[in-house]
Amino acid sequence: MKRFLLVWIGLFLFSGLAYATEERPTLGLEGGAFPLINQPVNILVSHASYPDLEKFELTATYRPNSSTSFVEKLPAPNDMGRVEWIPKEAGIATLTAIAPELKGVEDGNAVKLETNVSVRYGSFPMSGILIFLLAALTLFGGLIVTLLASRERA
Amino acid sequence: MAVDVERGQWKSRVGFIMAAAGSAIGLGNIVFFGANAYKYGAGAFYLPYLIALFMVGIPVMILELGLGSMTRRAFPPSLHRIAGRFGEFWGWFSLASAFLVTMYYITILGWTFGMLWGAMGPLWEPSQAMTGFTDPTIPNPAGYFFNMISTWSPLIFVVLIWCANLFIIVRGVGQIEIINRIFLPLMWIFILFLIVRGVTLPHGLEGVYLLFTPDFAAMKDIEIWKGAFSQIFFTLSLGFGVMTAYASYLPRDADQVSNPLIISFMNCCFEFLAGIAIFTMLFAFSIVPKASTMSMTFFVIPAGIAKMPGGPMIVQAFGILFFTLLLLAGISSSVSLVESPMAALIDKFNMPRRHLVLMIGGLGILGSVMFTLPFVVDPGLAAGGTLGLTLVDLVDHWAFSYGLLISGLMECVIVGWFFGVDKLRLSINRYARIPLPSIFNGFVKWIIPAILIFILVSSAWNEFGGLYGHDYVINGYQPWLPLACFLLWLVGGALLSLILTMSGSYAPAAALEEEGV
Repeated sequence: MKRFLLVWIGLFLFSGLAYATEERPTLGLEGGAFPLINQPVNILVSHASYPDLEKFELTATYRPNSSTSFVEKLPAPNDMGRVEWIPKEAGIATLTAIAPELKGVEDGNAVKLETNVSVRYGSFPMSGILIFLLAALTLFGGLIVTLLASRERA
Repeated sequence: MAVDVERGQWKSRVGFIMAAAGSAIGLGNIVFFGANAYKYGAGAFYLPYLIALFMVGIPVMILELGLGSMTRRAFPPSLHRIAGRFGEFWGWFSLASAFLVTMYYITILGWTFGMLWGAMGPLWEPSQAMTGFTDPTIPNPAGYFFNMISTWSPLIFVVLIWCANLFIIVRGVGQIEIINRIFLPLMWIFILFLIVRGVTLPHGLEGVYLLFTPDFAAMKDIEIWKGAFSQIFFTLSLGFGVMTAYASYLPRDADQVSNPLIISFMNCCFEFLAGIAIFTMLFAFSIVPKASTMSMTFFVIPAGIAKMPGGPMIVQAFGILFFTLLLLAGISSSVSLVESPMAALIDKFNMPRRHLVLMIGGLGILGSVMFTLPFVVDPGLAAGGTLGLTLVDLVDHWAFSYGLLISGLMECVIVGWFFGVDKLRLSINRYARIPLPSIFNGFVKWIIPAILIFILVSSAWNEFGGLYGHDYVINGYQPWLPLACFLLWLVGGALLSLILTMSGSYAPAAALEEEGV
């Protein structure tokens, strides 16, 4: 009886392990999620059961959910699921890959993969430094000058 | 100088500045600024925001403090002194809008308390089992939040926060001063902790570049300017009547040029630091904020904290730090929001503070409870989820987004066109070390009203497409709930203001001319 139970437990654990290691569809960047502006980087799409990776439609949405957001349509990936991308703008971007022919098991909609990446500036742009200094000097400088002036009065 | 025993007076100028800065620095500085800055293009937003500070923020702050100091009365009575019942009506209407805001603000603080409780453990679990919603499991922290607000537990937290507020207020301005002397430095220390952690995260510093690097092409979009001017108005707690009430507890010879400058700069310095803390985290963890402030507070930032390197202890520690910071900032602001109608009612009806605490507290708790109602009206989470959260969103749209701007517009019109802004300027200049230039008159009479009218009209124009909330998912409450919230704010607020304006009368006060104004 004990042996029978152990076999069942073993089978249960094995099936759980098989599920856990099943390859899920993924979308990502080769070399991490921090590409550099104007520098090429490879996007990689993978899907365990869908061989036609070149049918995925890829887009990059720069600064999603903001008023300055815009979408860039990217070329289709090669049969290895790889495509080169040159980020146009620094900031947070959302990469999306949609396979219209590939239906989701549960809802019947096209499979949609999404991932967020942060596109780096590389160095602090001069205009950014100027605004940073302007803000810091105006706010902190204004506070200090006003405090000193009112202390003199006191 | 004779001191009104019931009204009280600040013990020191530092105490007043701490209290006023504590009022201005609230949830808005920590999360609303970050959400707005991101929404309007980060770098495209900061320069318009700085311009808005000088064009609208500081002049209206000077006006509100100058009014309180000159009349030594809270907001509606001070407007009564300079423009009779017409002015007083608008004062009460502002306070009615502000009181609606206070009710749901304290509910949000109650939810923050609940999240603080969760930050000690369950909030950092991967997902939350849900009942009542379509999805049986939702990833945390959103799952934890929606599960919490769909139960009655926030009711206890809301009552606790109200009790804390009333406990501080019942003892008068002296207690408000003490609390802010403790809370304000703590808030600065906590935000510095978050900054240090943010900039030391891998690539966190790039978030600073994102926040400050201007996008001049995007600045041509009028919506960004509208967002910046609204942000500066809300972040400085203008239009709530709080600053006038606080300034009324100062001696008449207070310097009402340097005080507003210090409070405004202190508030925006804190916001500058909070912006850095938030943006470093957004960039380091590639987080895309959703449109609402609420999501920024309860999902986006906690999602970033959950990814902090260093293990579960660090995540818990920073989670507790973040929600404690929100709670401290929120309570120092909510105290001022409750004190504002309190001061106005004391001035008008000469009632004892203890009686008013019971009255305002009872009414406020009832209102806040409405905003915690846990009934699920949107199981698919397409909009607000629960009835309480849906009500917060609907009421906020009218009372906050419109009410405070109307209040700011009317105070400029009343001072600029009815009373005479030059009289206020001369009154302020009598005790000011840095004299207010005559350009201030032009700002109050023309520039600020023009900006506020533009924002209000363009926002109202969008409503013609359909009343706010008409396309919401509110099972069982559509279509009447959005309309009811709008009427509650506009008709309810106007009727209450009319009743308060017409009832009772003020104790005779010396004419302003006799007082040298």
